[in-house]
Amino acid sequence: MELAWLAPVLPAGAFALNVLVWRQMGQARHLLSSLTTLAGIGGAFLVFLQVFGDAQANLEETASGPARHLILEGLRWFSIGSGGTASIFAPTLVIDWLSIMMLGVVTFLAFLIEVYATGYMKGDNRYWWFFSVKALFTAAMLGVVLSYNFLIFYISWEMVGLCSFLLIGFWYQERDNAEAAKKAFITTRVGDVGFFVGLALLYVATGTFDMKTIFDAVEAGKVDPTTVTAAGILIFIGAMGKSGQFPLHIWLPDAMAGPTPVSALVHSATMVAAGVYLVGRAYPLFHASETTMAVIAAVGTFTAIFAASIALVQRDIKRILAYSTVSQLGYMIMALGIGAYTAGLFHLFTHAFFKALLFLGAGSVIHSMEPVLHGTGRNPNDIFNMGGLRTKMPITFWTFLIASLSLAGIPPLAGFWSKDAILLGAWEHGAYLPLAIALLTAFLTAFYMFRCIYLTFFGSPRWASEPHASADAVHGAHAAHGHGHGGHATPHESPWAMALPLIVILVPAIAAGWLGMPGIYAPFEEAVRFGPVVEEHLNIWLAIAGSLAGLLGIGLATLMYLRPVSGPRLLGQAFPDTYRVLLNKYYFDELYQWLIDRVVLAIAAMAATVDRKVVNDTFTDAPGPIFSTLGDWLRRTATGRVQHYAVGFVLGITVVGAVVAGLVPDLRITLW
Amino acid sequence: MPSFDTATLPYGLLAPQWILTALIFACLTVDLIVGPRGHRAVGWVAVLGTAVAAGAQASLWGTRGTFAGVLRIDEYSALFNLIFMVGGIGVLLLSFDYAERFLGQPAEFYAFVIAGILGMGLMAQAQELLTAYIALELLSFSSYILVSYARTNLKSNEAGLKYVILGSFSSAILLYGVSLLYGAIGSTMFTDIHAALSGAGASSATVIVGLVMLTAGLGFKLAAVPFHLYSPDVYEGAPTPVTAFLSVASKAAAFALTMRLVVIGLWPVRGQLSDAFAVLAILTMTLGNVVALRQSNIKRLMAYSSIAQAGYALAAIAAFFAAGDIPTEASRGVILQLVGYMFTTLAAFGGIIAFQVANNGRERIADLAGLSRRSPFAAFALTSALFSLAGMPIFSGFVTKLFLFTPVAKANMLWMVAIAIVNSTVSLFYYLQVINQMYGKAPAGLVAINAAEAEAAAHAAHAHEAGHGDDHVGAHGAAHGAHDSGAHPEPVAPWAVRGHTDGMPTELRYPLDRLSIETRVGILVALAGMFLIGLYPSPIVDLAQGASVALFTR
Repeated sequence: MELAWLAPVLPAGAFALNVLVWRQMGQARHLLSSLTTLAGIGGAFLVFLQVFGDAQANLEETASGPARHLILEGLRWFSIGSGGTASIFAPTLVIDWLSIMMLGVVTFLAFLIEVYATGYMKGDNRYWWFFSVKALFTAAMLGVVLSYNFLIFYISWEMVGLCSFLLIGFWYQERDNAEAAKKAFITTRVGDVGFFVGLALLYVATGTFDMKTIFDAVEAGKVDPTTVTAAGILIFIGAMGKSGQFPLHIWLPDAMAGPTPVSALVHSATMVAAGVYLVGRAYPLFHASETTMAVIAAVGTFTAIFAASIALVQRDIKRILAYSTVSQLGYMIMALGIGAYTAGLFHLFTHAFFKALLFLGAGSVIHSMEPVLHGTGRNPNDIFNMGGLRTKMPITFWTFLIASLSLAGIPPLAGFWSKDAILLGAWEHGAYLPLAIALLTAFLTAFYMFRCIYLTFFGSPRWASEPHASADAVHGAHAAHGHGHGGHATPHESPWAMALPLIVILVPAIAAGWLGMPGIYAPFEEAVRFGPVVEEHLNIWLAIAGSLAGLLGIGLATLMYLRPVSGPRLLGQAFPDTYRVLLNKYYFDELYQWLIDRVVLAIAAMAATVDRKVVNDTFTDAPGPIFSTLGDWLRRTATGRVQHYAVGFVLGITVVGAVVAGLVPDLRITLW
Repeated sequence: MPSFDTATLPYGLLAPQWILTALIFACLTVDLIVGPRGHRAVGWVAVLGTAVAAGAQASLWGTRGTFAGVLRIDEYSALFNLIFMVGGIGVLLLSFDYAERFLGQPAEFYAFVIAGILGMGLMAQAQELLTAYIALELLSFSSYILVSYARTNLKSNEAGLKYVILGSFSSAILLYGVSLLYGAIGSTMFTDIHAALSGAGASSATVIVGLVMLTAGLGFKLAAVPFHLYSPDVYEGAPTPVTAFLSVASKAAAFALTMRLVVIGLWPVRGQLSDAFAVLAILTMTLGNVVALRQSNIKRLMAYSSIAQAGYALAAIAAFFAAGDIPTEASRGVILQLVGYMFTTLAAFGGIIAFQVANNGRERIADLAGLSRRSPFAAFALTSALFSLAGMPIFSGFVTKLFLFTPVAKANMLWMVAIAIVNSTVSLFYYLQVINQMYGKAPAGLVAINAAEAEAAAHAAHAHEAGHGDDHVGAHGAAHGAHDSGAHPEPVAPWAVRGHTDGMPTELRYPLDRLSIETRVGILVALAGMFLIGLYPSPIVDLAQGASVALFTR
């Protein structure tokens, strides 16, 4: 267990090795980097296994007592001041079941996704850089998971953001991707400002960044309740940014511009999970204020249904999954906000697996559609360009289907148990409105996932024939370029490097939920919890209602999409306004663009004017010549002649003498 | 003068110093055996011997005692001795290539560096004025010789001569101050001075004049303004490793002696002295930074930068008057600043020496243009060091300045901190200008030898220019190739170019390949120390804390 610090250090070391040494190795750098990254992350996974084994032996005993946190007193980084007033900055690590759970999820998925990426990224000329950044990303994410000091947490958190920027914009040569990277970075930064201010408030109130000290102070009521609420909400804004919660959700769907292994790791299981993890980690702080909890519950509930409704009409397979992720993260945040701590984190745990699986499946589909649609100008991500892939890509199809069933909450798959836990939590905490919305969201979730499945894997193959509209009008020019039209290639199953991870992740996507079967076998509840163990019992009616919502969604999708695509078009024509609003994602991008153009840029222009006219002219440019003239003038004191230097020496004696003899007034005046 | 019995002196406490003394003779002896061509062997004897001495010094950590009443051995003197030894090892490693290239008879060179280290170590141990003076002269005489070591170089000779004249001038004044104090107090022991100053003696004119002269003499070694005038000339003229030696170690030794003298001997008058140090600090940091703005020679720039950095440390000494823990914290800050400055300066001079060895000893800042492409390693070392000097985070300069100025602020001298911050801002300008030369500019004045090589050079330039944007090589007609489409992943041919200043064909690309292992190790050690302090300062802070506590244990 004392080895836990190795978990972030190994991938960080892999990154360092890649960029410092392998980088120089010519073409060999690609292979060396991918192997080093795999070794680093695999090593981190072994560390997890060791920690997990240790924890089972040791933490169980203390599970009933108050000391559930094993805090590794890390190296003392540095301290300012001395004695009792010193502020100590120490990279303290925390090993409790929450961090062990995340450690396992992150290292397990990261490793398999890296294996997948060796196939997916093959031939990219910055292959080595991709793996290097992924190693750094994993290191940063493990830093978030393990750190028990808000400062280190924040540093790791920002590194996660930076790596995500690099990865989303990995193919930055295309402007859209660069824009998406920028959007992700800036949007999450908005949240991070809140986070930072919240941390500053806590530091002022407690004089430390150490989480344990802060939480103890908060629980003992030593911190002013207003500060607790304000800091809680501000820190939650940081979590909203990272976890794509309304209204900071806009970056996540665009982030799908990155390579699919990035989406699978960064935008399903790790980075976006960091926000939920933060809420779980700093729960004592949030829990201490009812206002904060209400805000969290409201934001989560709204995001869940809001994002699910957008996902109904998206055409890009990855965007559907992206909105689904936003919606499911809202689910978790909602659960945490209404007090169902274990349920929210349990959903985080199960969701990571089946969502990663869905993304990897989508990547597999896109990977095989790209050569088929190459040169036709048709989007390989568009599910309306797919169809009938079931027989072409059986492994992808079956894994995608099971993962979708899991997400839709069909028993006995993983998603059912965690969704049920959330419904149960809402019921027991008397949160009936969130409960109703959660059920509705479950229905919508099942619907859009099966819409996606039917359009992708069933029906007639639409990739073979050109739709007339695009064939003549838009893409006539392609013939002149000598590009072949689609249809020369046919979709095929992806290589084993990609298919194998799908199969491996399938296991937890089915079975992860069995760790939390209320009343039957629920070790998760005993391990990850806030407060005493509460024995949960399966509420059969809620379970039926939840499953029914999912089945209804599947049923409706079957009615509308299993046959050739006609039903939904009618629906869209019947409610054109609703359709357009959903298709345009409630116009949030437009709203933000307007806000940025009219409000933010106006303020920025004012600030720029002040900066140029006042700050620059007065404080930067004006003193420049003064100093340089002064420098020129003083430079002449260095005449190079020894006599002059000796005179200077005597002058110096005079100055010192004057001061020591008290001819100069006492200098120790306090100006402030 | 305390009496002692030579038979029972604790000789073991000075084991590192005996090793150094033996090493001086060992170097000279080995030189006789291996002859002038084997100077590297002499250098390695010096490096390894100093490392042994450093090991001995480290093993004495925690031991306290006095030697014959005049030397004081504690964590404070131990840490300073370690600083000098590690710094000395760095300087020695960086000397190998330079000495081979520019200095005729390098063997004695190494011996005098060791003698200097010995003198500095004794300065940190001295608790008696005459002992301190003799230690200081041991350092000074070694320095005089080292500065003028490049015998055929007029600048080096001039610098040495100036240093001797002004050094004797300051020594005379220091000695005069010592004699006045002795006349008034009747003792040169720091503790006796302390006792005398606690009484009525503090107000006597003789004592005040003596103190002022003592301060001036130390100010000369610290290169505090206005006693600094010699230092830019000497730093510029001296062989570059010697410049590094002077700014790394010699200055630290002066600080070691000054702090010991103030804390043990002059504590009762620290109020007045603090004022004097405050004035010196303001003058020193301001003049150092402002004049550095207008320098065109990299060594001279480093001299002024070094003056400015000493000014920051003086500001912390000015905080010694404050009550409570603040003086301990302040001296800890000074020690940290000196340790960080040692590594930083070694890295900077490592980069400069690497550049000079490959470029005929050129030293104009403009000559550094495009260094990032010719020698990425040297450019990286110099750049990191300059960022560190400017006080940027992740480099040691940020951490050490944080620890340096925190006690100053606590001592209610926020105005001093404000002045230091303005100064830091000014300093950023000239540091960044050097970095801009290395990374932002193409090598200036390079003339390609023939058309084929022009083509090759243009390709190489283009590949390297990707992301830099500023293509000055194009001015020489090599531009045709530079507009080729497609990025070359690696430069295809070495630059065969001619430096126009000295007319000698110089292979400019990758001089790093021809850097000896010694220079590389020296630079790497310096960088490692610098980043260690910048990223994980606790161990060194703890050492400095131990040294500070020892200093204040009277």
